[in-house]
Parts: sequence; structure tokens; C-alpha cells
Amino acid sequence: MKVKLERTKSNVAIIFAGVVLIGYLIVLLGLANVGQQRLLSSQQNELQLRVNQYANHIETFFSQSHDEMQHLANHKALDTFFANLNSGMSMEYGLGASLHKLDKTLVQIREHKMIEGIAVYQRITLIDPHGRIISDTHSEAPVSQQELPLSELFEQQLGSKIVATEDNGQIAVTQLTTVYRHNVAIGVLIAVINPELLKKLASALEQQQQNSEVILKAKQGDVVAWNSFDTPQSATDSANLSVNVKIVGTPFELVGRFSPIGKRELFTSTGFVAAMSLMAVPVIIGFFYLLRFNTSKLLLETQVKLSEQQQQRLARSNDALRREISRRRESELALEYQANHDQLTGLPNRKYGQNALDSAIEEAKVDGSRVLVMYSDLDNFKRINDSQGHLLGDILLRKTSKRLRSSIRDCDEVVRFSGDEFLLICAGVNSHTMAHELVQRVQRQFDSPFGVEGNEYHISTSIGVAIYPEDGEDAETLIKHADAALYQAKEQGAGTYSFFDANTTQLFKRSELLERKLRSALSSNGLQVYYQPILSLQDRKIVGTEALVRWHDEELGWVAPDEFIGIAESTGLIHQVGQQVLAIACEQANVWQRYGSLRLAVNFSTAQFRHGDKLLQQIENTLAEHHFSPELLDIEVTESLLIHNESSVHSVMGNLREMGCRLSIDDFGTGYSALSYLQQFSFKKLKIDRAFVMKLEDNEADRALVSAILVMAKALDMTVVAEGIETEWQASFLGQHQCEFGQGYLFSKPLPADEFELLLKQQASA
Amino acid sequence: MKGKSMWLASLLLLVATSSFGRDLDEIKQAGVLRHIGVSYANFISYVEEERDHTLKGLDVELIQGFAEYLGVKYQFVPKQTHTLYDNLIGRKLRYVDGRVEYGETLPIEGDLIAAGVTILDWRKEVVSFSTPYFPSAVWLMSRSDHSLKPIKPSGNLAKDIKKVKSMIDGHRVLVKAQSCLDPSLYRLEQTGAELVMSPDERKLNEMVPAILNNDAQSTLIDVPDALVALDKWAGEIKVIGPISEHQRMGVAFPKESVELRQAFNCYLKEMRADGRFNQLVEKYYPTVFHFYRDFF
Repeated sequence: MKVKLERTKSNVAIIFAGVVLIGYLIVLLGLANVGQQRLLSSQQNELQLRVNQYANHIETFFSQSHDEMQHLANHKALDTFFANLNSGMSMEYGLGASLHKLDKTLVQIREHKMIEGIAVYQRITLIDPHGRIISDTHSEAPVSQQELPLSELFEQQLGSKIVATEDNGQIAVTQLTTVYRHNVAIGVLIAVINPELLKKLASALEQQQQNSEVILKAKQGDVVAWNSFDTPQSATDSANLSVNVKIVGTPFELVGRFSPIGKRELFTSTGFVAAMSLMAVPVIIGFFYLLRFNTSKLLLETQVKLSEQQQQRLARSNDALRREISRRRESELALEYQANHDQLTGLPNRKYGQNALDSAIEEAKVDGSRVLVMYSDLDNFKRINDSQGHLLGDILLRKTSKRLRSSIRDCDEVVRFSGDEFLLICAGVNSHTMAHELVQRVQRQFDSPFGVEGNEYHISTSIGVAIYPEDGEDAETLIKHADAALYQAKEQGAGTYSFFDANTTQLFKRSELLERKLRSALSSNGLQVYYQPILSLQDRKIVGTEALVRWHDEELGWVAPDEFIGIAESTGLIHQVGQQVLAIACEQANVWQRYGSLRLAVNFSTAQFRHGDKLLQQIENTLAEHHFSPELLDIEVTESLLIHNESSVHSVMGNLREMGCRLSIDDFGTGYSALSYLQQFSFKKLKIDRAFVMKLEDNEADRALVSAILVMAKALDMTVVAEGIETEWQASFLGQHQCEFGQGYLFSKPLPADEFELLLKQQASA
Repeated sequence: MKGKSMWLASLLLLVATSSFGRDLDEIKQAGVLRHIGVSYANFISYVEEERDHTLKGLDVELIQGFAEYLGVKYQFVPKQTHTLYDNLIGRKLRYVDGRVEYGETLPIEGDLIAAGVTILDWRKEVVSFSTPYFPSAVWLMSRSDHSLKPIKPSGNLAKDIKKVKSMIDGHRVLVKAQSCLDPSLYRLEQTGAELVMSPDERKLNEMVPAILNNDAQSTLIDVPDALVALDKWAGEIKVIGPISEHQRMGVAFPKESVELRQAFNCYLKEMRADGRFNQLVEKYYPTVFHFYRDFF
């Protein structure tokens, strides 16, 4: 009975142990399954993150290559080549040099652009709109253009595009960039991207011991960036984890395939479960809670370890990314600086200036302040630059920039707008007094001369000023108005400044119109010459004539000489005007010599003497061409020519005198009359200005002055011509005071050539 | 005593105004090599700026290297284009109507001239040239808005020259006497072109600015200067075609400085052999290789 009872207890214990064992196994397997699911989920997240990061790397890379190609499209070597090509030059004579430079530029970029030691571009080619190759870094191999969408780039104004093409089973990735000049597409840069670089970017975090595959997928085919599967079949196993990410702005999709974690390092394999089950028998009850605890701990440690690995990988790739970003940032900053600054002076350029003015206006809108815009132009820079060479001109521009910079406040901007034009932007200007002070401060910078190579150069600046918001509410209007005000300042003379007023714009527009019309009149010989007789006051016989330029335009009617001569002087057209007038007058006066000796007086502007050698040559050639004797020519200049007492003027006047021409001082008494010059330049004739003659009858002071001039002229052995004689009284007064010659409406107004000839005929037949 | 002083003074005067250039031994003894030059293309760029100056260029580096080769100091002597030879040979000279005219005696201030000097027959009468070190030729260049159109090369240089000369009848062409752009060297008087003589004080590298300034419609220009100008004023100027056959440039020495010239030729030979010369040319005229591959 006792034995039976013990056997029954033992069976119960065994059944109990069996039940406990089954329960243990169920719990064990359940826990393992939960751990596995969590690990799979974690792996999926990690892989998604990793593929996203690859896609980001590739997007950033393409963005950078896009910028580089845009920069190349605007490179000076391309500019020079296309400009020289457009002028029709041949390769043998000139164009070849530009092409050589272009070739070198492309090769340099191909060879030197590297990322992590890998060349970025395999090949760079420039083609023209007909598909002809202009320059190529691999001229020996043909360029396949069939699959490239070149017509889209040339015709649809598409700036750039990344394309994938298939060539002999290989996928080529190409960055296409359109080259524009004057908004016309004149070429396309074809840059073939090195596939090895793309592969590197798309597999930076892959390791050989893990089974994975990363593919750049395009419609045209695949680029396999990484594959560490043992066999092709294992790569396409349906159990693999797969992640797809589209790469924005490219034809590619990035596809990653990874073996699941269970096949690599899962701790709940069949063997493990069996071993655990066998081991469990002797320790079923004693280790039940211990095993359960241990399982949880293992799960946790595995998760922590995996997480640490991920963190380390991420930290490494983040470091690399940070370095790359910082390098690109530096490169972008350098490019940005170049794009916004003028290389010669280091000052911000026009583009930057316009943006800076936009910003200043925005800020002024917020705080209700004013913005002052000064448009500055160097008055005699062009003359120095032309006569002394561009090297000196460049030095002067650099020195000018420094002075301008030092003349304004730290918060203000100085911009080199173009050539010798600068824009100064001063924000927070609260009153007109302050505005005047700022402008004057800039002009004072030009008080002292510029010293270069031991010589001193006096340069002044004229400034046009416009103020926000009174003179314009946007940058474009303000600049336009400051420019108009500059024109106004220039009209007033060198070294002056002027604030914008609306009337200036009208004036500006008229000046532009006049300049355009004058050019056209010059090219069609549309200027006319009128002749006013000069008579001997003793016998009232015509002894000479003064040639006067007149201009009639179909649209504008008669344009006053004062108006168009001023414009001709400021635009440099005065040389052509002078040339035409002299040629016409010499030809005509030569014909009139048949009626008796007739002197010809021609006015010369001070501006013409700026290029004295040229003027001298011009006079010599014209006299020779029309066989007109220099002894009959009176060169009439005004006193303003003598103000600066320049040695070049001395030399030209001396040469004219040696040629036999007679020098005559016009409008005497109205300007800068230094008597010493009358002798110094050996003037032979003096013309009393009409202003004195007009008031002779009424004004005793003028009578005294004219008498004094006549006495002085006699003493200096000069003949005198009185201008503007309108009454008989004036003529007889002047005659009685030994004034030899006169001209004016009393005798005749200026006449066209045929009418003047009639006068000569009448005189000859009388 | 008075007679002796007079004699000594005469001797000193004779030494001071001696018209013989120094040869190698005298230069080594003096310890300095004096390089006469003028700013021109990328051969010499010399700018005096207040108390300082900048000096660079192919010829500057070439002659500085020569001075180092001789173991003496280098000194640059700036001159004007039209007086370049005067202080090398010790005489005022002018090239007029196809012949050289000598004027008064002048002090000798330099030992050699290197300034992109073209070897011309009349110059060979006056000085001795080194082995040629740079190729050249003279082209016609005009403003891009001018009516003259660049020629289409025929493959025959003589024909191309003839074509260009036939096109300039009645056109104003800027030229420069006493330089490689002297019209008499190329018989331009027979072309019917209106030749505009550039003033003496204008430098050779100011010929292009002069046509941009409308002094003439076109100018003669030598190839090295044209290469610089095409880069600097791209789009504003164009090359019409050739005016001269191929020319060469050399370093000019006084006739009597035989050993100095030989030393320079040895130095140049070494430079060419070890590739330093081509590196120097590449630095200042990277595009010249395109036109004169055979020369280098």
C-alpha cells in the first residue's frame, strides 16, 4: 500500500514536470519570436535610413555638379571663344588660341575635380547647336549624341538636365548644361559623370560580411553600386528586405536589398532551442525563473549592441558628411564672392549693388527712413585711360575705389557699377543736409591728385543723387534717376553733383534722342555750314567769312548749335562734327577765292584739343585734300582752352602757327582773360564778344572797355573783329576807334553757301 | 700740371662716353647684368607705383635666370620703345626709309635687350641676336564692328598675306615706325592703305587701345601681343589675317659682346634641354603652342 502510494506521487511529479517542461518550451519559443520581430523591425528602420542617406548624398552631388557646370558655362574661356568666333576669325589666325584655352579649361576641370580621390567627370564635351564638337577632353573617342535630349536644351530653353543612357550594355550618367550668350543657346556642355563615384556614394556604409545589394535603377538600365550576395539567386530571395527611394531631379531610383536578420545572426536557431530544451530537463523547476530572466536580458543586450553599432556607423557617416558640407560651403562661398565682386577693385559688383539697394529699401520701408543713392562717374578718366594705357587706368580705378570706400560709413556700400562708374548706397539718411554732407564728403576725396609712377593725375568725380522714397520706390527706378541726375551734374561741369528732379529725366531723354539723331546726321552728312560775312569797317567790303554749323532734323526741326555742340562734346562726336565742318568750309572757301582773297574762320571746341595730335593731323589732311592754303585759315578758339595752360595745347597751337594758320581768340572778354596768353600763344586776331557791342550805345562802361581792348590789341599788333554789330552807330563807333573788321546782322545774317556766293558776286561786279 | 689735368679729364670723358658694350668678363667683374626693356605684351610688365614698382614677364624671368647662371645680380633698365637700342649701343639711332641713321653718342646703360624683340634685317646691322627663342609674325587686327572681314585661310601663307594686303586699300591702318610694325618692312605703302603712324611715345601694347579709341580702323600687331589682346578685349577686336611671313624673336647684344651672347646661347640651350624654357613659355603664353608647336 505504501509502495503504491509512493509510485502514484512519483507519476504525479513526472506529469507535473512534463507539463512544466512543455509550458517552459512554449514560453521560451514565444519570447524568442517576440525578440525576432523586434529585431526585424529595427533592421527595416536602419536600412530605410541608410538608403535615404545614400539618396541624399547623390542628390547633393548632382546639385554640386550642376553648379560646377553652370560656372563652367559662364567661364571666361567660353566667353572669349564665342566672342572671337562670332567676329568671324579663323582657327589659323586667332581663334585657335581661344580654342586652346577652352580645351585646357575643360581638361583642367576633368582632371582636378575629385571627391574622396575619385575623379568626378569621365569626359566633358562642348557642342554647338548643330551637334558639332567644339571642344572635348577625349577627342579620340566618338561622342554618342543620339540618346541625348539635345533639342530640348537648345529649343526649349532648358538650362540643364541629368540623363541616363545605355551604351553597349553600360549605363552612362550625363549632366547636360546649356551655354547661353545674350539669352541665346549657343552650346551644350556634356559632362559624363564617373560611375565609380556614384557607386561609392551609394554604398558608403555597406560591409562585405553582410549580404546586401544597392542598385541605381533607371528606365534605361541599372547601375549596380554594391553587391555582396554570394549568388544572384540569393539577391532576389523573396525573404530579403527591400527599400526603394527616388532620387529627386534625376532619372534614378535607389533600390537596396538586404538579407533579413534571421539568416545572419539570429540567436533563436533550431539547435539553440533543442539544446535549451535538453538542458531544461534537469533544471526545469530550479532554473525556470532564472531562464526567463536570462532570456529577457539577452534580448535587451542584443538590442543595445545593435543600436551601438548603428550609432557608430551613423557617427562615421555624419562626420564624413559634415566635412563634405563644410568643403562645399567654402567652395560655394568662394563662388559667391566671385559672382558678387569686381576682380580689379575688390568692390561689390553691379549685381550685388542692386541686391544691396533692394535690401536697403526693404529695411527703410520698415523703419520709415531714407536711402541715398549716389551715381558717381570719374570726369576725365577716359582721357587718361586712352592716352596713358589701361594699366595705369587700372591702378587709378583701384586707388579711386579705396578713396571712395574710406569716404563713407562702415554701414554704407560702394559698388563698381561699370567702367569708371560707381554706386554708393547710404541708408538711414534723415535730412537733405545730411545728404549734401555725405555727397560733399565723397567729392572731397578727389581734392588731392593721384600719384602714380611719379606723376600726379587730377581726377574729379561728378555725382548724381536720388533718394528713396521721394525719387523712386524700387532699386531700378532709383538707379535710373540717379543716372539722370548724374547727367545733369555733368552738364554743369566736372566735379559737381546734382540731386534728381523730374525735369532732369525729360532733359536726359532729349539728350539721348539728340545724340542718336546727331550720329545719324553725321553718317549721312546731314550737317550744314552757314557763312557769315566779315567786313572791313573802313570800306564795308567782305574780306572773310565765319563758318557756322547748322543742323536741321526732319523730326526735331532746327536744333540750336549750343544744344547739339554740348552733346557732341560730351559724347566725343565733336571730332567728327569738327572734321565735317572744316572739310565743307575749306572746299567751299576754295571755290570762292575766284572772287578775290577771302579768309575763312572756323571755330574749334576745347574738347577737340583733348586729342591735339589727332586734331593737327585732321587739319593738315583736310587743308591738303581741298588744296586750301593754311595762311587763309583762322583757327578760332575760346579762352576756356587756355585755362589749364597745358603743354599739349601749347604744342598744338605752335604747330598750327608753323603751318601758317592764324590763331584767333573768340568771344574775348567773356571768360578767363589772362592777357599774358595773348602773347604767349601769338594770337593774331581777337574777336570782341557781341555782349559788349550790343550795349555800346547805352553803356559807358562797355564803351570804355571796348576802347581799351582796341588800344591793347593795337599795342600787341593784333587785328580786331567786332561781333554782333546790329546798328550803324555801333559800326561807326567801332570804325572810329580803329576796329578793322566787323560782322553782324547790320551787314548780313549767316547764310547758306549759295546766298553767300551771291553777295560775293555782287561785290565783285560792283 | 694744368696740361696733365686736361689729359685726365679727356680720358675720363672718353671712358664715360665709350660706345663699346661690356662683355662677359667685365659684367662678372662688375657683378651685375643690366637688362634693357620696355613693357610689352607678356614679355615685360613694368609698372612704377609711387615708391614701389612691379616687374614681371617671360623676358624678365629669362634674364633673371641668366644673371643667376652667370652668378651676378640682375638689374632692370626701363626704356621707351623708340629709344630701346640707343643706350645699348651708345648711339642715338633711327630707322628711316629702310635705312639706319646714327645720331649723337650716348652713355651705355645696359648689357642686353630682351623685350620680345623681333629679329629684323636692319636690327641685325646694329646688334647681334641670340639664338631665336620665340616665334612671331605680324597680323592685321581691327575693331570687331569694322567692315573688314577675317579671311578664310587658304593653307598657303603667301596667298593669305596677299589676300589681306589686297583688302586694305583705302582703309586706315595704324602702324609704328622703328618696330616690327613698321610698314616699310611689308611694303604696305603699295597697298593703297591710309597708314596712320603711331606716336613715338605710344607703347606697342597700346596699339589695340588706340584702334578701340578710333585712332584708326585697324592696326598691325604681332602674334604674342595679339594673343594677349584677344583674351583681354574678346569680342571687341578681330584678326583679319597675316601681313608677314614667320618671324623670330631674340635677345639683342652689342656686336662686340661676343662672349656674353655665347654664354646666353649656352644658357638657353640648357633651359630648352631640361624643359624649364617650355615651362616658362607655358606660364606666360599658354596658347602659343597651338600656333607654333614645331618651334617648341
